[in-house]
Amino acid sequence: MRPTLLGVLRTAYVLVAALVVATLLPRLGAEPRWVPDLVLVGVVATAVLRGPVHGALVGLLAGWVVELVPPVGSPLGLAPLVMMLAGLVAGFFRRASSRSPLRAPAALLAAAAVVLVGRLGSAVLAEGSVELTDGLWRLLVTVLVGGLLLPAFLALDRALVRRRLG
Amino acid sequence: MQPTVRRRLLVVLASLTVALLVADLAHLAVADGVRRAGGLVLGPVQRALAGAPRDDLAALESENVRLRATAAEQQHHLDVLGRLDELLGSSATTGRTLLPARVVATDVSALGGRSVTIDVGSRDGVRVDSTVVAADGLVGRVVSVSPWTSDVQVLGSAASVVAVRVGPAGTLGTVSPPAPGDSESRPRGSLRLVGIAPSTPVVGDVVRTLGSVDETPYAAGIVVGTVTAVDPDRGQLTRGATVRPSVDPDAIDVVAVLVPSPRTTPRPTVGARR
Repeated sequence: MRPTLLGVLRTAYVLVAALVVATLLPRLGAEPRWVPDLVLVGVVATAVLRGPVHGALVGLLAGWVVELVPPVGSPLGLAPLVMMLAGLVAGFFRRASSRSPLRAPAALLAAAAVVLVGRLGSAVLAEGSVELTDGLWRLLVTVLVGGLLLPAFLALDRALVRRRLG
Repeated sequence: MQPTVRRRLLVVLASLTVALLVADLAHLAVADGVRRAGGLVLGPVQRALAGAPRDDLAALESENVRLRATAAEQQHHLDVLGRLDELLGSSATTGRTLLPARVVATDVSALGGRSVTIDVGSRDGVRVDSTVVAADGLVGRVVSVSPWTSDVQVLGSAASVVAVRVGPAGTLGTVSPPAPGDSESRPRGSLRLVGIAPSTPVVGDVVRTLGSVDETPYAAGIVVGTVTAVDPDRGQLTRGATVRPSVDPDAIDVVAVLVPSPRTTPRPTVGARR
């Protein structure tokens, strides 16, 4: 199996997004609630075109990247599983027939909701209290940023596939 | 990649993830290894992204904190030294043997007034009923002594009564906190002067301690305060007055306990000038 240009781009995007979210944005003074989940946007962009299984696989791998970017998450492996579920859910939004522009943002909203629920659930189990408003803000910011980024990602993906680079 | 292969890969990876999750929750060493690997690979990238040579920055920051703490400590020592200097140069301590001390605890009594604890005790030679002074004047007297600390009853607390001389003439009187039955209203923190002999104090008179035998509980001639108001004449035998203490009881820090030095040599007689 040869690595395709699309695969390389996808991996690079996930790595850079994970580093930007974990390192650069806090360094620039962004509050945690205003930091969009850029990795999730990439996962949804793939899942919405390829379906649940592919989405789950990409979500799992991307989740591992996020988990391993220091600060390494705790418990180790929870974020990949949640991200896998999010990719799976986003994959169900694939419709080969429909080209509605709202499909991808809807998938992103569902995936972000899965991530939020996962985070809240682990917070309840670990600390016994949750920061619901911060999580909701983050979901909103993620969906807004994703609404801008997703069409570009989908167009790039389709173009590369058409030229047999994906 | 075929869909079945993809599905199998997903199942394998997800099981691996779950296994690692369980291992981490069980505090197995495998999870720590994965964690360390993540930091090892991606840590340098993050340091480069963060932009600053992290170690220099951290070292400088910690040194800064340390130096600031040292400077604050030195300033504190200087303050204490300054206050001690002031105390040693004041009239309250001239010609007396004294034991410098600092206030380590203070308590507002339920009955009014304040008692403080100073950091000298019986091992330093403090006895009960020693006089305690500050640079500005009388603070109070020692009421109880433990090996390393002593409790001081501050002037103006409920049970303190000091025999005083008022003004240049040295009229006798007592200074005590305002009693509940006092007919005059006095500002908070001020004391009540009651004359013993029939006399009228004047506003601005300096009130000094009368002194007791062997300088306990109060040594003689220490400034207590200043007369700020004289009670109106209501036909009483002696006129009362309001005294503002020269020491602020809320801001006592460096004090001195006077060590009584009883006389050992007889006082010589002197002939009057002709």
